[in-house]
Amino acid sequence: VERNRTLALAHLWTAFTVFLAAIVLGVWQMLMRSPLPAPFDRPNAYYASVTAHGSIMAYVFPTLFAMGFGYAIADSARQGQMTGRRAAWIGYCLLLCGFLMAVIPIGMGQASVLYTFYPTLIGSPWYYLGIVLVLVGSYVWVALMVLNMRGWKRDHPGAPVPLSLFAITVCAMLWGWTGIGVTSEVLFQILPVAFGFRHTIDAGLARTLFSLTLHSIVYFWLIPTYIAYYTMMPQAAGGRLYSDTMGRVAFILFLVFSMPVGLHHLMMDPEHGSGIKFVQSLLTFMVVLPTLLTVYTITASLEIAGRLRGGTGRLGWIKRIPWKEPMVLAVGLSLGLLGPGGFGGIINMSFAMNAMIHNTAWVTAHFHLIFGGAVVTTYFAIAYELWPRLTGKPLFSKRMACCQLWLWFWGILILTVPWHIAGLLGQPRRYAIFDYSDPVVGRIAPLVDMSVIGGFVLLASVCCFSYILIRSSVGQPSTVLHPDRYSLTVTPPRHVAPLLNELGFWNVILFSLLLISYAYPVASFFFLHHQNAPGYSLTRELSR
Amino acid sequence: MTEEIRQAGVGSAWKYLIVASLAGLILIGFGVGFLLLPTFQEGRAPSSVHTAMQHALGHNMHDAASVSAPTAADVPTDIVWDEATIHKALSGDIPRGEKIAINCVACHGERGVAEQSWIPILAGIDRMVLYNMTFGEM
Repeated sequence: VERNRTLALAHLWTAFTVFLAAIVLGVWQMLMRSPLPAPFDRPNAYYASVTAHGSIMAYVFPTLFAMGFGYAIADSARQGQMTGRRAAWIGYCLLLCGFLMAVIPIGMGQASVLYTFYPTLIGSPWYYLGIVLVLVGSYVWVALMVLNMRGWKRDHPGAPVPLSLFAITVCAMLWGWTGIGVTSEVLFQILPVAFGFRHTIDAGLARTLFSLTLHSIVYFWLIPTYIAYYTMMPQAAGGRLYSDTMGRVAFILFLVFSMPVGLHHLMMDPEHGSGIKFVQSLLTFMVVLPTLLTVYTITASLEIAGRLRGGTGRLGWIKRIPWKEPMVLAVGLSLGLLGPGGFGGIINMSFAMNAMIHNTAWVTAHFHLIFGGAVVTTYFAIAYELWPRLTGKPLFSKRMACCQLWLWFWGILILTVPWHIAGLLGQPRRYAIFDYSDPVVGRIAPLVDMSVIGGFVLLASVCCFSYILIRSSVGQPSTVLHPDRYSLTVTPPRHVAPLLNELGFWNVILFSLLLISYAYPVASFFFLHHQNAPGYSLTRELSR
Repeated sequence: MTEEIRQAGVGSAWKYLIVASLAGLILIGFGVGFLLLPTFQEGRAPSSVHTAMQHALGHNMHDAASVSAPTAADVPTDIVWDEATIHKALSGDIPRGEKIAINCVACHGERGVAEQSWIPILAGIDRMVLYNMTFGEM
């Protein structure tokens, strides 16, 4: 049991360490593109930094976090008998090797292609190989989550799989599917050019393959957050989960609808027809359903907690909710940020409105609001919940933890609200420098300055978070390791419909939807389009 | 046993219902996206179902009949970048190129930065772009 907890802790410590580094880079980037003076004021450094920041935040940090969280859940569900501990360590080492392999060429300025790669731009092949190795390491986790859910079912025939284990297995499976797009793009499109075996690359096909990853990766980031909503928050609030079934349905909907919708990221790309884009745009609206189900269930669960604590009247229960519990506060703040973030997402995926905000700072602001706001806020709270369970030591200070969460909440708002407005005013994304002396550009300067302030508030919040974790890990007396427990349901499920207790059928449905939505768009590149263009190799140009 | 059979039956019914619902959703998506929307987009009114489908699939963008023939002014180069031309551009005789480039230095400068403002600066231009500018302009 002890060693399995070390496994989870190693993943979580590494995740938050790289996260801190990425936050420092992010703040510098905000400063760099603002009218304010910045150290190391060089555009090349900016693009290298954006690549490192994006690669860490998209591929490394959430993956390590989900892996650590998954191992903690599997360990508790199987009462310390998690399958595949040695394989898990191998996966962790592979991931770390991949991270180092990717980050070194970035630091040398030879892979400034951003985390979305943007072919026909070509960076050092070691960068791409590093990212693939990160994925390979995480696929060990995917396999282990599936094996552990199977193992649990074998040990408890006919019983409902605990919601936390069911949901983290959905998360792992979704990640397994999600990686297909980016891996095939890197292996079949980018690496042959990066190694010099080919000179041309079909940017349209590469972008189409990446779109398979680009939307579902967001739901891979989100699912641990939803697991905390369903299985940790009601217990922390002193209540019960309103419905176990709702949770299972929500997670299944995420699995089924996250993948066949990625083309809405290519609305402005000319290589696909409007009909195909419309079908995927329509399917994208289906991913709103699990979020709406979740908001309803979690609000009902909070009401149960409030009323159990003596709340009365229509809204009197809200005051009785223990908002000083970090997990409860984090869920409230996270849902508060998910609302406007989700609203922005509906604009992005709408066929016509997308044209208004395409390639503007609005898009960057949107995914920072969703990931930094709704997701990371809850990651912090999950860490606060898990740390005492994993270390056997009490949390250093709940009061300080709540202050840190509030600081993060306001930091995200100060960062992203002006950023959204700047985007609506036409500020393009992916630019290192702006000529603020131009009156048209100059009007966004105050908005960019405000975002910089938001960035520094976020940095202060992360420093505070690190301090709490360190103080909770050292200098506190050890107590007995308590078994991990998750929220009980109002009516604990004795029997669950087989469809809500297994994932095979849903994977078949997902595969069918993928075939319907992606077979033609991908195949069309082989019989309709001829868009090969020369790859622009950064390493070759830099070494001239 | 009876309970298991009953549950299996209910499970199958749900599976059919789920597949039917998804099929309905997909059909609505394809119906609106492939038949209805092309009728209204950009004021075009496709003359047939076939034309509407072509628009929805994006074939119209690649259809020679729907694209007017380019004039000489529309075509900036006669070089098509494929594996062969790129290989040719990247694998030239460097010493010979250096000799030829002596002619360029007089106007464009030793490092590609001309002293007169009206002479283009060549420094920083990608090799293949230079190749295209030198050999590809019609």
